[in-house]
This record gives sequence, structure tokens and C-alpha cells, in this order.
Amino acid sequence: MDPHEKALIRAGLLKATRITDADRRKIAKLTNAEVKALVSVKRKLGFKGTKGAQLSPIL
Amino acid sequence: MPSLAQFSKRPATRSAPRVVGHGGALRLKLELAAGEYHKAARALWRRPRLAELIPDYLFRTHCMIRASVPLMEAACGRAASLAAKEPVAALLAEYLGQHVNEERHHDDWLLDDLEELGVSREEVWSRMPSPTVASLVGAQYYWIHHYHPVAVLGYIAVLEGNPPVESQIAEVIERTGLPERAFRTFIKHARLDPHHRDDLDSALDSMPLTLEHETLIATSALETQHLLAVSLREMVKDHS
Repeated sequence: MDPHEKALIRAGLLKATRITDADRRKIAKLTNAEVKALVSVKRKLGFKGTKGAQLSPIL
Repeated sequence: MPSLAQFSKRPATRSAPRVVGHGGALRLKLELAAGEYHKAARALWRRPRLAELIPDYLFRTHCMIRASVPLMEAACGRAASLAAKEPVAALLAEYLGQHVNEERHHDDWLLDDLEELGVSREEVWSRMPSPTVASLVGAQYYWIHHYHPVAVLGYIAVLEGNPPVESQIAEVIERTGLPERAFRTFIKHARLDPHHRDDLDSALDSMPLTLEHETLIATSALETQHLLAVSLREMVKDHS
């Protein structure tokens, strides 16, 4: 298993569907490689991401 | 106050080579946690009587972007004061010094749009902003003055990261029956923000960020995204 994938499983983020305050803190600490691995693995598991423009507050 | 020395010691990656840039990694982190925001946005934009919410939506947006230029100036000033000791701060000051000029008077555009909906400038300035919006913006001043100004890049990434597209704006205009002139700020940003987002990603990628910098930027971004969702939910609830 990919070492980053192992780290993510330990962090409990692979299966998280509702992101909690604690999850946000974990996500913030991920390295670039880890976040890419996490998104990749989650997509394999069915995570579709949330891309798609929204009317949103803007600078 | 934590030592700034920590920001120049640890590399941004622990062991593996970098596989995605700082800007791309930040977007992926936001994407992982964006479900809450998009759910709140859908609840807003699918409201049957959407026209009733638009003045409040523009007001809340104005409450945020009235702070954009002062916030960036504060971050730029603090970054400039650190620039001699820290390359990231020097690059941050350079980026903000340019970007702040691109954001000037955007809050005035919104005041013009609100006037089209019958909301006067005096009404906007005399109405108290939501505590959630104050928390969202105010947190940035804390990071800037009491930790490190690079946090503001996370805030900017979120507020410029989901630009409206013109077809969506047209749909909202049609659904609400409100005048197109009330949406001029959105239309302008639909055209401007993709460029601003690319500029930010380039700036992030060019910075020698440590893991601590990246964590701070991402924390700022993720909390901003969360509080935006809270703000949207509050607004919908106020009209329920």
C-alpha cells in the first residue's frame, strides 16, 4: 500500500463523508503529496469532488 | 507569539517529492471539505422566492468585500516588515502590493448594484454586519498581526476560488425577474476572478513555503470556507 495512503487511513480521512472541525484540521496539515493521494484514493472510492461554479462571495 | 524562525526550517514535503504545486494542493484541500459550502449554496440558489434574498445576499457580500482592501493592506504592511528576514514574506508583499490595486472600489460596485434594488448606501452602511462575517474577516487580522500574514492567501483563495459563471447569473436574473444592473458585480467577477485565481496559484507556486506556511494557509482557507457556509445558512434561515 502506498505510504501516503497508509497515513491517510491512520488519519481517518479516507472514509470521512461529513467533514468535521477535526477533519479540517487534519486536512490542513496534509502535505502536497498526501492531499493528492487522498483525493486520488477517494475518487476511486466514489468521491466526486465538489467542482462546479457557484455564485459565491467574491473579492 | 511563536518564533518566526520555524517558518524557515522545515520543508513543505516530509519525504516524497512534490507532486502537485502549492496552489493545486490548496485547491484539493478545499475540494475535500467543500461539501458543506456547496450544500449551503444549493439551498440558497434553489429557494423558490430567491428574489427576496438577493438584497441580503448582496449586503452580506458587501460586508466582506468592504474589508478586502484594508485587509490586504494590513497583510502587505506586515509582510513588508518581515521581508528582510523571510523570502516568503517578501514575495507575499510583492503579490499583495499588486493584487490590492486590482480590488479597489469593488465594494462600490456592490453599492451601485444594491441601489438598483432600492437599498440606499446609507442603509448599507448603517446596518450591522453579521457576527459570522465579522468572525470570517476578523480572523484574518488575528493571523496577520499575531502570527503570520501569509494566512491571508487562504482567505483570498476561497473568496476568488469559486467565481460565478455568466450563464448562472443569467439564470438567476431570469428566475428572479430582478434587473440585470443589480448583478453587475457578479458579471464583472465572472470575468475577472479566473485570472485572479490563476495569479494566486502562480504566486503560491513561486513561494518557498514550508509545511508550517502551507498548514496555516490551508487552515485559513478551510475556516473561511466553513464560515461562508455558516453565513449562507444563516441568511436562508432568516428568510424561512
